[in-house]
Amino acid sequence: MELITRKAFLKTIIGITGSFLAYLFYKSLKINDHIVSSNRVQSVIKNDFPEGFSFINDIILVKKNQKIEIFSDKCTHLGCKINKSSGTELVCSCHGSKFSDNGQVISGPALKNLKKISFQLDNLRNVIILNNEA
Amino acid sequence: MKLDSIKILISRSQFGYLSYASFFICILSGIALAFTFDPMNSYNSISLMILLNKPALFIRSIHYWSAQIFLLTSVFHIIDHLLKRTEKDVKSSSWVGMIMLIPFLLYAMFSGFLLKGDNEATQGMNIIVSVLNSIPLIGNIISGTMFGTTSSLQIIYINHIITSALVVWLLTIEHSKKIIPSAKSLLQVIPLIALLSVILIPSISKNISPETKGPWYLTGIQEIFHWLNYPEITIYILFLILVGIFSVKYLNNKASGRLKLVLLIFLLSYSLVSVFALFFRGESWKLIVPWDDNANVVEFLTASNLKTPEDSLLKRKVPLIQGKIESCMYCHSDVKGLSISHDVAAIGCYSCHLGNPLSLDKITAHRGMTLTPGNLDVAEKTCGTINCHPGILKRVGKSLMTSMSGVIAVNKYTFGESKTPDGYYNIENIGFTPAETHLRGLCAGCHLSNNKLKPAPIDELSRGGGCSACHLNYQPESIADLENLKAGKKSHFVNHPEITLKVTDDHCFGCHSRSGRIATNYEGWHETHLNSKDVTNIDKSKFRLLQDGRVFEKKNDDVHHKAGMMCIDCHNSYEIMGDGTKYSHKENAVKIQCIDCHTDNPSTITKDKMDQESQRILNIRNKTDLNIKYIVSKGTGIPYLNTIYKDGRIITELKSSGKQLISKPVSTLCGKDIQGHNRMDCATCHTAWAPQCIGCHTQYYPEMTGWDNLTNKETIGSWLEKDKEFYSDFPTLGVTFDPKSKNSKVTTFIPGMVLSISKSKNEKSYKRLFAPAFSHTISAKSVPCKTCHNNPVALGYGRGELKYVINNNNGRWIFSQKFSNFSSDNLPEDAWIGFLQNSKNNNSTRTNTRPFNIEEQKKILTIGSCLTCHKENDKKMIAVLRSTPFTKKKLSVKCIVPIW
Ligand code: FES
Repeated sequence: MELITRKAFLKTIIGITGSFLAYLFYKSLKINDHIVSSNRVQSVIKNDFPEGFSFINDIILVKKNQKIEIFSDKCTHLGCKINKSSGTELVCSCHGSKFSDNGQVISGPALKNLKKISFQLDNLRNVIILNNEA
Repeated sequence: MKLDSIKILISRSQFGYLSYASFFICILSGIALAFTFDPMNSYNSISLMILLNKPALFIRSIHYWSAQIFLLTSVFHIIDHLLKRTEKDVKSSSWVGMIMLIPFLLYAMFSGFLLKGDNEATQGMNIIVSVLNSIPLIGNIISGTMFGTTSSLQIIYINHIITSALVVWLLTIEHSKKIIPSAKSLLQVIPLIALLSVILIPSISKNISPETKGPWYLTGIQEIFHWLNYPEITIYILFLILVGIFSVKYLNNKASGRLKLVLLIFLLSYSLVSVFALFFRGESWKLIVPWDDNANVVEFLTASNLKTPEDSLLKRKVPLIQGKIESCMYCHSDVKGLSISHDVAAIGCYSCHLGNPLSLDKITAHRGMTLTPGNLDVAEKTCGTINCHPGILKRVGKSLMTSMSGVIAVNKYTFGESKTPDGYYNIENIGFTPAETHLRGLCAGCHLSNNKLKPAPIDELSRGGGCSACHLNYQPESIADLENLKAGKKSHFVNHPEITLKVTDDHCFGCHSRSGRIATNYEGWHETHLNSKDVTNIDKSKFRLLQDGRVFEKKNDDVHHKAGMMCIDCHNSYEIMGDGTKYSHKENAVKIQCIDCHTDNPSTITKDKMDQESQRILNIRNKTDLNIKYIVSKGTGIPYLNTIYKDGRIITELKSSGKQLISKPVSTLCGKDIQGHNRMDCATCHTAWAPQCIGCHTQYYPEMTGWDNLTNKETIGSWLEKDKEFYSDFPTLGVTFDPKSKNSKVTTFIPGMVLSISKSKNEKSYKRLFAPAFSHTISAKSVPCKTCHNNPVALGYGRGELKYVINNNNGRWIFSQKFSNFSSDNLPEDAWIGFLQNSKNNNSTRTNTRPFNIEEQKKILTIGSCLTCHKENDKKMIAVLRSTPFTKKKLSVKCIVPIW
């Protein structure tokens, strides 16, 4: 008496191998993910920005009455790079979300305010130290 | 061909076949394209096709168009099925296959869009990944599988050319029961694809742009995303549509008919939204009309791009510009004359001059180009892009040299159009009131936003030009190139004018030789009423004829000019280009003070502590030493990058010649410690002379043809200005009050707006406003005491004889004026105040400024009376004046103080 048919055996083997491969695949995606999100190392930029918006790499620096705030340039709607300001507003070119100069949503579709990036001012060296995102 | 056969040819029933045929061509062209396309360097590999590899460009065009037609015909084919109700005849497996084909087809299309690797593609990638990731639980896996988890295009490429292509093909075979499409259908689509591929060749977007458009079939979703706060809903809607189409087969006729109607309405509405988004959305999501000049609907290359370039071009090796291919380099890589930071090898041509960097055809490449990239109306796309000098551009936009705010405010105040001479204005926004047309007619050319109309070196008539107003220097070679170009002797510019920090005084001269005339004053030239004919055999040491026909005579130049200093040796970038703050008047924007350099106790800073702009400037000048102490302005902390403190001396290195000058600290003889002198600014004693015009009249002639300097167009109606006399005397002194510090200061004034205005026959007015003015005619030696204490002009009375008359031991000051009284206010034409009178209101072009009051006049004249007997260096007198408090008791019995 056969305990298990040949076909069923094959199916099981294929199933197990397939699941294992799928698991490996899932894991491999996660590892790549990790590389991307820890991409930003702590970086130092010279503190000499004019009043208003400055776009530097992947951040937007806003200086208002000598006070600095830094935001990620990733639109909180669907992640487009924001590269344009008009007056005291930032406008996302992809779907027109508008943000104020303190990163708050003025009009959608974005719902969340721009992500603030924490930083320290080193007055001695006159630099801004951006903190690691992680 | 019979009509019937044409009907059949385009009949709905053909769509399935046409769709399959297009897909087949798409696959074939895709395979061919894979040989030249490099997914790891996609932007450049497509650029190379556009520029040099014309066969590959054509194949890409075929690939693009066959794909678009495949999509369109597939949609029509589905509609066709639904309308003809053929779904019921189709086998279930085939029906499921067809439904599954739709998402794969969309993926194949969209991944092709992403493989362009340009700015639009990157934004598209961000969006799709975010949308998929927002699906709970499986979102990440779906997005990782379809689009990868890094910014590399590798996964998309593999999925595009293998996974999606294979699946679509297999499903198509399953659906159509054919391995390859029929010859007939191929013959039908090939001409159409070929035609489109020749006349509309897809391009790539060039730079980071404030306008991002998805592919045409997704612009509708892009628009929907704008209105929808939860974008993942679109995925569910898409899923529902698929379920909807799927269930059509299994519902009864009535229900399926209704469902089809809903689907059709949805499709129609989606198409409308897509068309709207494609044609009516512009930069920064603004609404535009497609025929607007700035509209950039969909960019295609034309057939002319398929011309094979000359062999010589194919062989040329050109540098990559910031990692990208720029076609300009094929012809212009020999351009020289620019410094490293602006060298063509580093930034190419496109980043400044725009145009089309992906064409080797001269006309196409030059379309949309600017020859004057410094002009502020294009500077946002050139000098001021986010990779170059965006911060500076914003500052310049707010600076007084761009806004002319002070000029406008004072002019409107003079014309009675505003209550104060303050406030913030911008010349670009002025209208057509009398004050504004007056500005348009006489002043509005002198601002940075006035566009330079064609390339030309700076001369005395130059006005405006944005960044190039200061930073462009034509060398003799570039002038020769320009001449040759104009004469048609040369085809292109090789010797580019220098883009430089060496801003010469000539750059400032055009505008600043007018009004307060600081440019001419500084060089020691004073305007006369002579005209060019009077000075035909001009003695150049005594007279100077300007390009605008005005004749100037020689006076003493400023001591700093004598020493070889140029304007930029004192005035730094934060003054000239603004510091980001809007100022109403120039004296608020100026940072430099005499005591910053003329002191033994300077404030200093080292390079590593400076702002980035100052550091960058020092780098350009090769100043690397971190120990050098640079002088900073005591008031604002802004560093002087050419002035250092070394071994107890302040040394200024001239920016033009490198010559070193040593500044002397304030002399011990400076009379600042004398009572009443402590609030005098340095210019009050060190100004040699200041230009002053008397008897100005400004009249409007409604019928006369004039010129609008703001629009550079002719106008009907013109303002004409007449003046009677020019003087180069010591200025008038007055008082300015700073409400913040509550300090007042004595400073120099000249007649600012002393004029009668005839707006029309019946509308006449008269204004007597003096303006605080730093004349830029500084002399090292201070003026004699009598220049202020015994001088009616300095006191504000105007020209004439100011005499101290003693009768019976009583002294009295008497003034006989030179100019007769002006009827409107009964004061001599050149006076600011009446002799020993207080002034009336509205006497200055600034708030918080005034002439001397009676008390102050009396004090000044009292010392003036001493000076009628004593020499100014009389030690006894000085000792008395220096003693505090100064009382009359300390005077000798012989002294006769004035009675009033
Ligand atoms: S990504 Fe910015 S508005 Fe959608």
